[in-house]
Amino acid sequence: MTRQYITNTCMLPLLFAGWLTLSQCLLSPTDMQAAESVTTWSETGVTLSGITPIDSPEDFEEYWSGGAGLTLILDTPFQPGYLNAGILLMFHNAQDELIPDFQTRYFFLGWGDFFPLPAGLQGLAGVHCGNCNFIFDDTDINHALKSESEFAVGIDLGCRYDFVHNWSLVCNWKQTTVFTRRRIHMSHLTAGVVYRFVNPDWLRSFLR
Amino acid sequence: MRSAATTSIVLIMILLTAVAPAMQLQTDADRVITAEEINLSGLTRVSDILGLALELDALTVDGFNWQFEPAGHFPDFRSEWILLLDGQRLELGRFGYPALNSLPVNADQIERIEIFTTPMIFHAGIATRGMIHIHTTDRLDRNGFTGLLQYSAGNETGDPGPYRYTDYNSRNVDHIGADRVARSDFQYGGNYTRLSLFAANHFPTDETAYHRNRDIFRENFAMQEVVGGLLKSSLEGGNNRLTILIGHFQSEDLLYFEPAAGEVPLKENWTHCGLNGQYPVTSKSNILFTTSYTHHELGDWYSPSFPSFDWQSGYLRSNAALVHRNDNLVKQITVELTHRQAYAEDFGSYGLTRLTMCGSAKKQFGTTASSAFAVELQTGESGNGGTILLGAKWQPQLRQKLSLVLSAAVQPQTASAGFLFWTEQGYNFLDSNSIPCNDNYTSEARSHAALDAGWRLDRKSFQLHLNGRYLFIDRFQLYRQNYQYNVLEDSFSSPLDIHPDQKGQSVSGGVRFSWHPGSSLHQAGEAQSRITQTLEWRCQYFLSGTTLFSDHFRRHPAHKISITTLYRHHERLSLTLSIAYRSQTSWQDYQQAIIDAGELYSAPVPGATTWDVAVHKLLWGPRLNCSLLVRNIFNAPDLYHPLGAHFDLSFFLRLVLKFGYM
Repeated sequence: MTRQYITNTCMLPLLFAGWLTLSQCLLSPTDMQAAESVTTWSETGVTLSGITPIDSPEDFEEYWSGGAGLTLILDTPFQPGYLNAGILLMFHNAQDELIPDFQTRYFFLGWGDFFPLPAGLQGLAGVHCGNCNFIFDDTDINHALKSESEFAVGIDLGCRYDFVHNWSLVCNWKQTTVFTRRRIHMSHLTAGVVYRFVNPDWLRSFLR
Repeated sequence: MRSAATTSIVLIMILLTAVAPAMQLQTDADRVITAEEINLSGLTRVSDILGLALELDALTVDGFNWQFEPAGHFPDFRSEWILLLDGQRLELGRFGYPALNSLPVNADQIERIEIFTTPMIFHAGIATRGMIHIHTTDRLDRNGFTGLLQYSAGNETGDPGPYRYTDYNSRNVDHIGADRVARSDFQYGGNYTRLSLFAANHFPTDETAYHRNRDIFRENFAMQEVVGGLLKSSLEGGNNRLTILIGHFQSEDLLYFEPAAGEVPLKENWTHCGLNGQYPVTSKSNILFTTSYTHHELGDWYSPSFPSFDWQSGYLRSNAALVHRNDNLVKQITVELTHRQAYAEDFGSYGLTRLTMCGSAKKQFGTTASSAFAVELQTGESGNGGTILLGAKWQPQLRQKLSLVLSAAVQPQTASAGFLFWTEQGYNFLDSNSIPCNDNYTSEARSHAALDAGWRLDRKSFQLHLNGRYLFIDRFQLYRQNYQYNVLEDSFSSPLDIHPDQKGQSVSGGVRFSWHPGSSLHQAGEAQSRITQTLEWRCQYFLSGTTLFSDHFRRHPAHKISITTLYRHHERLSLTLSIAYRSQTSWQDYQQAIIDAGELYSAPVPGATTWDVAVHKLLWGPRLNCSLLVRNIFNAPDLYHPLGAHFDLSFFLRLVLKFGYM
């Protein structure tokens, strides 16, 4: 049985030292609470993007093609950075008649932050994790086996351009790893629009 | 039927002295798992929550049913410790595995769990092998109704995903839950009532379990499921208080039974009805009382290879204690009556009654020191016995306590504890079904002596708790098995050989350090540190003894380390990071069979270092409680038993919706 792990007992002291350092960084003197009360949960961004695969594992491409789809993301300021939640929908077509097509629905939560770039652009870097749900177009199997879920994590890198009041264009590179027994590492390019609005009081109150 | 206790004498000396004003620390428990700790951890099942305490050694084969043994106690996982729910003792045993995850108590109603590993007196007797007391909520902030819905589910990574249709196909792995809870609370004045209902599922699809149970795993997986409920009423009138508990669950389970070296498909029905309370006789005297009845049924639900069985047991326990306080002297007299009526298809029915009387006196010297003396006598069909206890206390500073506990016990070999009842039946059952079993139980008394030392320091920014234990055991009964591997069925079998005269010595110890540095948050009007760091280390060593004692002892990890960091970003968002390490364990009985079975199994069981991350967020005020827990994030090899399930990278989601909360 092949197992993948990166830690062992010898690393424990080193990891603990890193852990303490991280803890102390989190305790930095910046008053996060004060900043939070100004902007956190203050607005919501709705992103609708098209998505196209730019890289998949070879053994995956051996069986399926496609991978294009849509993604819908909601984000809100969360000092520091932005929290987001979204769904990514992709369609995969089988290369062989004996293998069913399937849909991927990836429900994720993420965090990221913007940084300035030239020409009015804003860069974005973030991480995300969630549940990747595969739904198989297979009528011959038990209903309980028709879908399967797996944990997934990934990173986002991209840029945003504010072209009209409340509206932006966004382009992202999304790298995702699905933790199936045979890991699926996927890269996607997304492009779409973002609409931002100020959160009404009831929504702000709910999120707080 | 085996004869039960014939003689019991326990002598416990507690030596504690004091030089400063006496002020009790919050609890005398060796470890308290608080509601906040449970809530922020993202855990929902009682077994998983108990796993947070390094004071308990844990063992599981299927990943759902767990055995626990207080660290530094006896070398076998026989679960003889006492389980209390709101002061009422529960009988949850079956084959040494208490049905903890079937207990109709969900994480959200637990106020705290107290774990006692040091020998102690409790309201109905003496707990020499440890005690776990689960306290659930019995009060709301205001009068009226509240309600709660909870959904939790988890998934272990490593499923085949779309590759299931390809040459790279592999088996599905564990799917945990979905667990669902519905609860309603009502309070009016001092009266409180709660009704909770729950249903839980577990899919034990680990490769090791699958290979041993291929005929049971139809449709690619077998499911363990349990449904149940608990009604709790707490009534108050003047100084009187009465608590009523009615709990029930029924389950289908695939329980590993070590003597049979395989899983038993088990159908179980359990009902507990009990009441406890206190009644003030005079201004200085109180009567504390508990009465409970437990009905327990075990049967098989699918037994292609295991013989069919149908067992039933009824257990009545009733006790009353008169407590009298006079100046610096507290006296207590307890009378307890227990009766077990059992029916097993192959062995007919029988009953067993026991009467226990206990008297104790606790004397306070000045404002700082105290001592206690207690005598317990037992009589019944199982024979007569007695218990003697002597103790004293010492608390040198307001927030500091030093303790020294000396205990010695002589107890009968025959097991009458509830947890062991079904295991005994299992041995008989194996024997009567031609599975070789050297049924060598004797009524000879076993004895043990232990010395426990502890130091507790409780400061504003940190808490420190050090403890150590020396244990000597003599004339102890242990079993030896010599497992063999059957290649065709991928199964294990072994004769059961019980050896009555085992002895050994061991030492164990631990340190727990909690630190709250840095800035504070204000939550519910109280200052709370933004970060809490907890470091815990426990160790145990075998000193000398028989080979069998040593073999059993090495099933416990020699070292366990836990490092936990709780970071509160603000009062409604927190992040918990924890690292847990436990050292390798050795399983001599399985050694040869595992070599024959190949690489799927492992004996010795390697040490494991696991990293967990939990994020907890409250939304909509306190009404929506969301947790995401990712366990073993580096996917390190993690297993507890040579034939046991691996715990790979897993994630758990918990959503709790509360009604009526402001």
